[in-house]
Amino acid sequence: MKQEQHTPYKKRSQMQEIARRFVRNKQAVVGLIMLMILILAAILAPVIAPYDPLKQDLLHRLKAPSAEHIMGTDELGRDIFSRILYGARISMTVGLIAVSISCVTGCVLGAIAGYYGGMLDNVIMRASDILMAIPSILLNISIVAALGSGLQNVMIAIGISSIPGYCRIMRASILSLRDQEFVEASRAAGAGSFYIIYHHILPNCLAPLIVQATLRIGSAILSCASMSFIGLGIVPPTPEWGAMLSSGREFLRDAPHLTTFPGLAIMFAVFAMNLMGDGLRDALDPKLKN
Amino acid sequence: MTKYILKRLLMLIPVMLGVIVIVFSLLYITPGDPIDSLLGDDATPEAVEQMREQLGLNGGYFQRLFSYIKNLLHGDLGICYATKQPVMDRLMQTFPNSLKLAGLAVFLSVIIGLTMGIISAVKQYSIFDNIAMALAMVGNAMPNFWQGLLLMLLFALHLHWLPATGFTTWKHMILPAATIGTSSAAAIARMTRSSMLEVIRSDYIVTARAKGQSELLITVRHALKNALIPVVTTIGMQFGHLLGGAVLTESIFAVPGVGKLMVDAIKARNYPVVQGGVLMIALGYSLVNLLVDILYAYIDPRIRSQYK
Amino acid sequence: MKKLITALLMLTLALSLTSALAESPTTAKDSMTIVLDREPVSLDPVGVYVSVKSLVDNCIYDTLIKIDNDGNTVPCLAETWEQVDELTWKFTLRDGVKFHNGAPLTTDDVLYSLGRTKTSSVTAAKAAFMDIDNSYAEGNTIFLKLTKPFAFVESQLAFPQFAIVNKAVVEAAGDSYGREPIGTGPYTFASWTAGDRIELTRNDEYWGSKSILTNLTFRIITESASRTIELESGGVDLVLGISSNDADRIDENPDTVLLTRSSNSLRYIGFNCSNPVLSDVRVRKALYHATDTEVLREILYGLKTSGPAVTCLPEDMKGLNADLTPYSYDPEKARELLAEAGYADGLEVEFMYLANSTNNMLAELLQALWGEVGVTLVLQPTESGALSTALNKGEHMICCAGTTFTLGEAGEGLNSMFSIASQGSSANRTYLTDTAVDELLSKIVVTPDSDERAKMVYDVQALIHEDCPMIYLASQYSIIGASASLRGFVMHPNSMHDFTTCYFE
Repeated sequence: MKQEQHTPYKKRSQMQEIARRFVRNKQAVVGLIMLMILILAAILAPVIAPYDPLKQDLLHRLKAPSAEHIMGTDELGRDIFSRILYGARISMTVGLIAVSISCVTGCVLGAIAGYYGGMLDNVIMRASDILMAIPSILLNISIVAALGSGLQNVMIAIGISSIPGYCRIMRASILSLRDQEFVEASRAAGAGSFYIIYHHILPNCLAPLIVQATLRIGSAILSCASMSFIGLGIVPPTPEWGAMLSSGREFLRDAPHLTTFPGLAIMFAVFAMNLMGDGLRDALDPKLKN
Repeated sequence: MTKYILKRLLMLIPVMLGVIVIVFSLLYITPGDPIDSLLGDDATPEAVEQMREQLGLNGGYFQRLFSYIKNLLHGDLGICYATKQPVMDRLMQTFPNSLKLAGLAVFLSVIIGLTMGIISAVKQYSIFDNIAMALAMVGNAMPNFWQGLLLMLLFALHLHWLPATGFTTWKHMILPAATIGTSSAAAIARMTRSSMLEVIRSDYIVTARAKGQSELLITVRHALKNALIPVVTTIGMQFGHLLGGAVLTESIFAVPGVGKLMVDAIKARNYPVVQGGVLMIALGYSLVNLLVDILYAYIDPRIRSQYK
Repeated sequence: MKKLITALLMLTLALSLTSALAESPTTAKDSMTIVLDREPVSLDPVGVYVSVKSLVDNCIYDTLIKIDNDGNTVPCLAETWEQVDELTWKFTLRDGVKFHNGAPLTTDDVLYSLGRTKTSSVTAAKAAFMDIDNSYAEGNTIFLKLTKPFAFVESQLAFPQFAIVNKAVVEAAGDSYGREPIGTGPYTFASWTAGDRIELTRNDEYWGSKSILTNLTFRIITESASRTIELESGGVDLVLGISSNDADRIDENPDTVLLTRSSNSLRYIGFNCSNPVLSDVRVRKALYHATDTEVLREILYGLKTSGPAVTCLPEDMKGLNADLTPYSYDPEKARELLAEAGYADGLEVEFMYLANSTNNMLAELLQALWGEVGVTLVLQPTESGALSTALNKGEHMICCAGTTFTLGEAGEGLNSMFSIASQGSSANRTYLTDTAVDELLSKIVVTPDSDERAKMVYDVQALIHEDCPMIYLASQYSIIGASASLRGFVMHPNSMHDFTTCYFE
């Protein structure tokens, strides 16, 4: 009974400490606010959006920003502001799912490699070297070419190509923790491998993983934009920022707002993620506080 | 040290084998047929069959994979389906361009990134620091092809300072190098700043300062040297990835680089070129990273002892 | 800090100085840079046809007969020619023609070149009309035998794939010939930097009127926005393949001029008539009535940079049947037809297309237009490698495609688009199986008399129109942007532009 009370108390204080450090970091707070804006935009898109993001109005194509359309209209007369709002959903989804795929897979593989070592470690780490050695954009293209375009496959491709990063982080963390006393004690008490990894090791290497994941959401959004440029992105008319930016480049000269706003939206999202990631790094790792 | 390098080189063999198998398998399951772009509209079924036979496309998965590896062991990367030139020649036409581009991009990003990072660290929280770090963030967050087009509009069309496309003189290389170098510069700047800050606060710098050494000398001799390791890592990562990963920039600026060759080859299902190209890129990436690891040892003697 | 700013300023100054120096006025420009939107794979005439390849081939090689800028057949390597009988043509070669390596042109080379088109798997089908084994030469006259009566001998022989090569050179070079071509044309091949440029120099020994400029450089720029910027910044002289979105900008810019000409190309949406749903002609007609083709043309191809398409022949094509009533934009009628076909409650169809921005727009527009008559359009943007295989196998329901009447002959083009034998090739995406059409087409290709042929071409268009295998979107123009100082350039009807008359002012 005593112990049960003790543990949550300690956890809370640690969380509080992290939160305190995070809030004191101005950049991180800005990042958090930006992220909240994005999430709100994504959730509230149907409420805020003044127009249907798919509704075409061919009589008002390529109109510059005005009171009626604050970000102007695109090549088919659709309201860019509404598309950007709905696009936040797509981009957030791409970021989150792609990162989840790579994070979960990478962590499991990294944990196995680090914990068991030996042959298994060797095989997993060489496999990760293989994925690292192929430029991610080429790997993405090959995977999407093999599976076919569409949101789902783009997310899978981006997810697969960033597995090695997590794998390495997880493995390194485990190697440094595996032989520490509290782990050994648990093992001596008869705990199984899975129990040890889940209860002792994972909580202790969360910090670098969270940082990596946050930073990776930004690069996943950028990768998705690159795929649209090559013609292997999502299926239209989905209002995805990368696809909007990429199709807008045909009108770069006469209607620059077609590229400016999606471009800024992408930058906004990546910026938010990077600020958050940096802030989390500082908050989670007191050594680097400066 | 020699033993370490040898061990690392040996480890490359399974990795390269893995690259071959992965690329081969991906291409194998990819829909589409190279014959379509090779023979055009009017080919008779007999001609198609003959061509398939000639290109060795009729075998099963393992048969084709093994025959590819067998040829590779004889140093034969195959023949480009489209131009009938050896794949090695095709790669050699484009690889030097990508190397030049990546080299210049890394060079520019190191110069700019280091300068920005050092000044930011030394003048922490100054206006310069804030602006530089904001710029670094922007550089990291901007989609590459958009940035490239905007740079081209500004410097080629409006200012007439630099040519818009092509890759013949050093002036042609600046815009594409700047486009792909921006994110590396940003990464290096941030990396330099944070590791410099860490070092500047450490005891031996305080000692050096107490001994009355000039601030510049301290920055260069002590702080910078120790801050170099993460920077070198970043350079290694970036250089490797710029080799085949500058696809969009190469398209925008019409640079005949290996990345664009790869994408075109993937689209035309030109299997030998894709396989040979990815293999070369992967090899280049791995070698650069080996070099980076060796460099560590020279920068930091403490690391040297770990290499066994 | 101050030092840094000073250093930066110095650097900027130095940069601007060097560029100022580089811009000093040049004297009498004697070379021309032409931008291509893709790279030819090989310059061997018998390679796969792409328009950019034919353009370069046309500078290096000559054919027996040529099509001039007005679309007439004129002498080239053959000074005179005539049809002797139904299965024999006689060509008298020009005297004193030399290849770029100095070797004289012989009848042997001509027979060898024509024979090659039959053995190359790419051109074999096109060359099937010639019977090379029984053809022969007498003096400098060639008697070309045909395997069967064929209507398009002249225009086919004028096509760059039938250009004349040097037998000894080709045989010696083997597979590498396509990268080191030698012909008799007005320009000599100089160099090829893969992925970047092809350079040609003037052939001073040319038998015909020699080029005014000494050098031609073909540069490859695949990104359309970059092509326009390069032209406007003055880095190149002529750009083939200007995006219709940039046409007005090029037109209004005093430093550049916009040139357009109907290029015998038709853009269309093809129905796969072998598909169970689309085999019902009422469904096809319904979808046509649901499509506002004028709006599509305006948005996708531009009113100034494309022409209307009312039949399966592009605008300005000889033999066009102007009496057909186009399917009007009439959603009400579309709904009626769909209900008649049993799809009153809606219908789902798939649209497979090459993923690029124009096609994406087309897909999105169609989705909206057809949605109004209760048709759900599922989009399948596909990358080029997978697309051609799928289309060749007929796996699509609806696709969007273009076809170019490369010979400028209506009958030949229609035959490759709608004959049953052509199903599965890139010209035939509709898999239309109509024996009346097929019979008429097979008659057209063997009828030498052009008036008689024109009559049948007129009739076959009416039959095809009734079958409604495709929605005609536009007659695509070839859109060229050029430097305002360029003179003497005339667009060729089949996009085989002649650069020998070009010069700068």
